Amino acid sequence: MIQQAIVGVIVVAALAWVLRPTLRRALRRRQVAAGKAPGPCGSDSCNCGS
Amino acid sequence: MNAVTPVLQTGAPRMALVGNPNCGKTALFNALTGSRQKVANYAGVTVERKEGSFTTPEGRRVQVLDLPGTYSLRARSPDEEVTRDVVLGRFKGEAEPDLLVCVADATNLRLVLRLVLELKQVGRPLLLALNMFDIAKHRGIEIDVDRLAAELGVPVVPTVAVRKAGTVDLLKHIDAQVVDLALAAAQGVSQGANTWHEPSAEEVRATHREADRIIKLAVRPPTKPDTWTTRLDAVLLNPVAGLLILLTVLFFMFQAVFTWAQPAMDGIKAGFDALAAWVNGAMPDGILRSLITDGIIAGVGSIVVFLPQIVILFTFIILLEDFGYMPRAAFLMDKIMGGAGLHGRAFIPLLSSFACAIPGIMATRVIDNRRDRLATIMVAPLMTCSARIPVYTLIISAFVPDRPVAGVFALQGLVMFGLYAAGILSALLVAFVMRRLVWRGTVEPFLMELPAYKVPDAKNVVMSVWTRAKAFLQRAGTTILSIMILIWFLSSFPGAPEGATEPAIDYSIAGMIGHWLQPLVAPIGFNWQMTVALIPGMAAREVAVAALGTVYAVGGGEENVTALMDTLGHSWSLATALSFLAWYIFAPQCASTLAVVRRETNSLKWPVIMFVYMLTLAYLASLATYHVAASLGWA
Amino acid sequence: MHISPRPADLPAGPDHETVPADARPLSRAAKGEVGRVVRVGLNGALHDSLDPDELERRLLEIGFVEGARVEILHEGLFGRDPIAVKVDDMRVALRRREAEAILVTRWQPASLHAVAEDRRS
Repeated sequence: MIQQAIVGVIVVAALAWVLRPTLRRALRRRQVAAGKAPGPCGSDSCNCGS
Repeated sequence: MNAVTPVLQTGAPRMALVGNPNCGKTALFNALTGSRQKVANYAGVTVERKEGSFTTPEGRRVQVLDLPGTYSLRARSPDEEVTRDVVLGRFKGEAEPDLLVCVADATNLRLVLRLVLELKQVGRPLLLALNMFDIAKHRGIEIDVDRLAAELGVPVVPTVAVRKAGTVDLLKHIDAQVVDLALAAAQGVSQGANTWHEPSAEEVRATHREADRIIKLAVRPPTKPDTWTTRLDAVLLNPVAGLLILLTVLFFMFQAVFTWAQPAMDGIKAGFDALAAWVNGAMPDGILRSLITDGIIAGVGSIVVFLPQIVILFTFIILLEDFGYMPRAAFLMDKIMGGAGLHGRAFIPLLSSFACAIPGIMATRVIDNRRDRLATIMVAPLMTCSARIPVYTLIISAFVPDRPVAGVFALQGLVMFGLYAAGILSALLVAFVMRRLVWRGTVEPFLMELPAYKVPDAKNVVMSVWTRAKAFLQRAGTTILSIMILIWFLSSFPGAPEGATEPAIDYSIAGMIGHWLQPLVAPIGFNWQMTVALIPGMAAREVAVAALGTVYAVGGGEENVTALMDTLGHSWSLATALSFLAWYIFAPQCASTLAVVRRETNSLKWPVIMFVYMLTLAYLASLATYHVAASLGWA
Repeated sequence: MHISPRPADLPAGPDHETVPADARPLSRAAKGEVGRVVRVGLNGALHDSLDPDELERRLLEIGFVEGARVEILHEGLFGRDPIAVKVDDMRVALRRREAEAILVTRWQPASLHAVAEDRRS
């Protein structure tokens, strides 16, 4: 039982790592939508440069 | 501590290195920052932004940016645009540099002085570092540093990037400049006005004349000119001998990758086998042990084993680059590449693609013309990247007998060479179709400096190779490790029902996917285990080897990587093996390459075209190979 | 020392600059030839690779400037193209197609001191 739990945690962690870029992008898009983070350069919510 | 000044308040002062290509700028960057640098994950020439930091003798921390080499701020390629925009402080998301350090090859000052005169117009604090000062002195070039500084109106410091004490003067000057900057900022003195504008041809001539005037005043020409470069070029650029030498170098490189690496690879393999055996003995049977031995150790082990080959390949590429051979290779190849519609400069990105298509595609930024660049990007993944080596090695070792041919060459090495040649030829063919049939039109000029040959600096080479090896190991330790765990999971669950007769993997999720895709790949001779291995191979080509290991180890109950070769030898026909090799020459089996193409072309269209054309070629090539091999009775 | 050109030999360039009578494009030079650059640019004539002004500036930036000493060091295997040229004290590789935009005259060591005056202003 403990073994299965450990294996489960490791597998989920591995899945999270592989999907990391996708997850990060989704999170960022959400923050941009909520106005909590600046958007990519050139977009309406961009605040880089002058 | 001095009084806190605005410059120091806003963080470490930022310094940018600018200079002509081949001036030893990167060597100076390495000498200044040592290991404190953030190099992009990718290998290749200076195309990506490199940042580092160092501490001056007075204890100030300075950030350094290594900018792409250029002859003028008048940018002609995306690469040079980066340099221009950072220098002008227009680069989005990049802080303006507080200090510009123009790096010059002291043995070749003419063009860089013109650049200095242009940089002066920007109005930022500027410093000229005369790099390779020792070589200049050795050749009898006498540079009156004070006179040069006075005429240019810019501080001038001699440096020797490859020697430890060679940057002491530069650091002292940087310390002084930073104090000046801080004082100026504290007193609210604004920087000089930026009067730079794109120079016209007449203005270029005028700055040339000014540079010539200064050289006449401050530099005495060499008493012992560089005869080595002339003598070497007489052979290396000879129309016939030069091409033969180039081919020999490439051939030697691939033989070395295949044979020299063997002892080290055997050692690593034995190490992982011993580790798996130890875990098997130390742990009770169960799914956790299966995960560790079949998933993690077998999976990661089958990737790390290729480290020696990757190190050897990168050592060759970096040595040739530092030696100054790459532009010569471009010169020799220009007509041949031009025949395929590619630019001679495409040779360097394509050669880097032998290591990995990602740095290769990024290196295409040195090609100014958009269509030339796109054509190069589209064929770069056809070059045999190092991630294919594991797959090729595995299949060749399992199916090609290890016997000498003509007494000198190993048959296995020859097959490997053939696979590389197939990649190159198909790349030229695809480029020809794109550039000569689809896009006919203007031809980009071929115009590049042939730098003097230099003995590569051992420390620099070791550092560059280490950076690449580290990136590879990091990938093996993170992404590949994660994928291996997932594959193990997919091929272990759900387990076989009670009283099952087939191997356990037949009942797993991976088995189901493999069986489901089987009809599609049956015509090209693939079995479902191969299909399963190809799915994770999309993440990184080399993962397919580890996946095959997992699929067969789990399915057949075998526990070590060394047995994989024997397993494949028994369960695949020669026709299937050859078909698999043909597939791997063309298949778009690398999601990161597609992602880089998307980024570099800034459109979804090109990665999609790349994926479709490569997949089509792969399928057709495998189909043809399988059927020809089968008709020869190798099925 | 100067060879005064006959007016009939002057190229019909827009700015009517003086070009020595024996001037010819670098693209026609053979291996081993040494020359002095007398004009860079096509004087407005069209070129099939780049905008003429852009080509002129690129050639200038890499060191092909009026008065420079050029020597053909090497030639490629196919069609003797591209060529490796020694420009003053550095080496540059280029195709003959682009070398067309560089007019050269025979190198005369005696004219060394006149180089500076020769450069277009």
